[in-house]
Amino acid sequence: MVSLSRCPKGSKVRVLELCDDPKCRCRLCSMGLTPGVEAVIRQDGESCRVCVRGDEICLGNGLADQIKVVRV
Amino acid sequence: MTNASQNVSAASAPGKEPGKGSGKDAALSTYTIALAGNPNAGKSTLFNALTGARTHVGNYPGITVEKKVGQVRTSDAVLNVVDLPGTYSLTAYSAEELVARDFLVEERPQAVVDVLNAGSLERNLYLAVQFLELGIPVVLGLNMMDEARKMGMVVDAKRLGELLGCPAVELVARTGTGVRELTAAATRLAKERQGRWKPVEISYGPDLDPVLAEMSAAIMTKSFLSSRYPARWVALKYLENDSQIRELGVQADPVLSAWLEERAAHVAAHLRTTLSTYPEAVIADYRYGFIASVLKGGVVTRDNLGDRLAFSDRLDQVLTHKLLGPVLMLGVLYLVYQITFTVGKVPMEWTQNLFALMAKLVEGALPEGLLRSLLVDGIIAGVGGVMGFVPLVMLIFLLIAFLEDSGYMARIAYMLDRVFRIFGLHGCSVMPFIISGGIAGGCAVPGVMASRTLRSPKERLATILTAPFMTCGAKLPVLILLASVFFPDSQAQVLFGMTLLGWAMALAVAWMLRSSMVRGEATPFVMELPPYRLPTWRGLAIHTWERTWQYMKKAGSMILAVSIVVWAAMTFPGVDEDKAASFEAAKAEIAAKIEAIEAPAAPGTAADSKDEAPALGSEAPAQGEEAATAQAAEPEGLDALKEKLADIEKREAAEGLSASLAGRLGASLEPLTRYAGFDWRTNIALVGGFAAKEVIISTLGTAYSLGKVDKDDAAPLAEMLSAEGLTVAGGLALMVFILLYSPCFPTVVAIGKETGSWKWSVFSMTFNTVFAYGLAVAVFQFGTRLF
Repeated sequence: MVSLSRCPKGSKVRVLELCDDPKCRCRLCSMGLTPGVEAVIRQDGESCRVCVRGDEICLGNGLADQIKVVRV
Repeated sequence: MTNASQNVSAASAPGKEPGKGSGKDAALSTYTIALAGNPNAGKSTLFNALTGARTHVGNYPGITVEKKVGQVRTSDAVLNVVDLPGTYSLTAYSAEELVARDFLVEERPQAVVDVLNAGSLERNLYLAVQFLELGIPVVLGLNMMDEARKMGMVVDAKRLGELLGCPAVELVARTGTGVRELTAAATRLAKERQGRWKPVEISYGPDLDPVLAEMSAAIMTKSFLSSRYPARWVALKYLENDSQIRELGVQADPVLSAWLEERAAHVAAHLRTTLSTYPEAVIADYRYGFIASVLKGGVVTRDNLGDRLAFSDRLDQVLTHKLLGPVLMLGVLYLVYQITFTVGKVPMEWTQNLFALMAKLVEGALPEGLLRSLLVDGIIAGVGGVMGFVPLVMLIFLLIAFLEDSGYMARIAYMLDRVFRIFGLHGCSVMPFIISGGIAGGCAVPGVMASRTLRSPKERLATILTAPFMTCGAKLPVLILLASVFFPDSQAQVLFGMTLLGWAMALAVAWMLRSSMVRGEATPFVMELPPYRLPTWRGLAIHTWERTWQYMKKAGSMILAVSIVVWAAMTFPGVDEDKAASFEAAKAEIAAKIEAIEAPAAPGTAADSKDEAPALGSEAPAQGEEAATAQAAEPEGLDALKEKLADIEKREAAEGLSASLAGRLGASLEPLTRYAGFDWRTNIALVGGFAAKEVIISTLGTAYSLGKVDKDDAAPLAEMLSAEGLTVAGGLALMVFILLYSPCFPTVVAIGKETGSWKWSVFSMTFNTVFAYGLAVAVFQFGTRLF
């Protein structure tokens, strides 16, 4: 289990855990990022871009740190 | 004559409408239809296509915050279409979501048209499912069908509609394809359902279903919140930790609410320990599961491997590259700046000339006096000063609309978020800053309004309060003038330095605010990056016009009022009667002389050469000893006379100004502003600048009795300023002060409106002025010692 922000560009991951704030969790879910979903890292790092459920979202401000994933 | 052909009587409904299909029912029924959808699904484009109304469309998530209503007439009904803000969900995450949700449950529209991006159905149906759960009649509009087809997707709209139990219509909102069918379907549904809501139940699995059933039963027996929401929906919201519903619940029935919260907490704990997940995630998961099962039921077939985002991704590899991205972004912003100023200069001159011409016409048509002064110096100068910027503002908005609609603006926010975070701001703060003059020449009024895209109230407030520090188009000419006086050899560098100072101060103050008065957690940054698209001309035109119109309306109303007030403050009470009389006398005397010369009355007597220029001392309105010999002047003498007259007029204006309310204020402030190097005349100009910064130059001109000073030709003022002993340090202090002190009145009003509290208007006036004063004093004191 690693943070989303640690995953290299181009890698495919499965989301395990979202962030702590419930409101923000709802937000991530409504944008397609739910536990169990697969995502592709388009740009790595603290502020990253991920492709999930056919759309691209960007995450910033340590959010990518909080999201825990596993490489597939 | 919208859609006569659309009376398809496919009424599969309980036959409630006997006269259906004739299209000639005497009384047209009126229905309210809400237009909802994800940001970037083309909702606003559809709204325009539907109603023909002008509304803003954006690729920038969540740009529509205001409620917009448009009317559509079909052959058998009138639809009032309400444009809801773009949302991904109906949680309480953002103001937009709450607005959308509250509208639905409070106004209970007869139907919701949910616009979906057909290329991204899985994500877009997430919102649709929530509408179905709420029970409101839904029509699905599958937008961007052309793009979906190009990607090799085959979407069976009919099948989708059957599976979800609601009509689904294929659309290409950009071209208007399918729009008639959509209105027909919405009308039909509204008729059929007659406002009845039918909540759809979705299974949430073995962990949640029993609890949901238990909670809904309790809610039902107590009719808890039932006037607005279905029972199961309320139960779900309790599980999702929805703050708004919980508040409503506590008000309605504290006991039941407490029990529900306890149940929700219990479930959450259970999920946490057994599955290490959260209720909201389970709920979302089952919703997506439901959507997946629907889509697999023959709705979507993909016959290619096309990645909808492949092209965008390739562009983004360069455009949002970690190093190259920011460099390119600066280039783009610089280009926006360059285009605006090189292209915008020409029409700007036209409009300014137009107002100058208008002033001349009025001057010629009216006799001298208060009315003329009010019209020329107050209204035309004030409103014209702002209207003169319309072409520039329009061009900036056009370019910004291009950046937004193309999808690049979202990338700018994404890239800048890292930097802005440090100062307690948000990636989306960049737009308000840029529009306010982050690349010199914007305007803080639309800038402050652009902060609506920010979701978190704290970051939004900090943005609103700091955006006015930027070098707006009104400060720019003043700064240019001062730079040309004090730094003739390095004007450009000084101006660039001022722009940077604006940014630095905005960020610094934002940081100060966010760690003191506007403290609060930073909102996490999650944003959809829409694929790059070529904007349509129509879309660009609509956006540009909408924003420009907003700006013009402000100039027309608010600035008109302020111009009048400022004019009055600078005119009344005016010089006392004795002085006025003596000025009049002096003017009359010289006028008489001029008249005498100009009138070809005594052609032969141009002999006595009288010296006509006794220096205009303080005793100017002296005895009329020369009156009798007026006709003696040579043509040169005539010029001298005219000059003298003009001189007296300028002196009169200066005296009048110093005696006016504004003048007295300026003088009374001098003991304080001396430390920053400003004398009373500068003070008057600065006070006037509160109305609109453009006023500063013209007021300085009047105060230094130079008559009207032209923005483009301010050389005399420049000479006068340095001649009057304003030092380099003083000039620099003045520039700093002008850059940072109180926002102009229209901006202050905008701040009040956008923050919803006049407290912040007052704050920005006082804080910025004090802050600017402190800095100006520092610059002046240091500067004087250094130079």
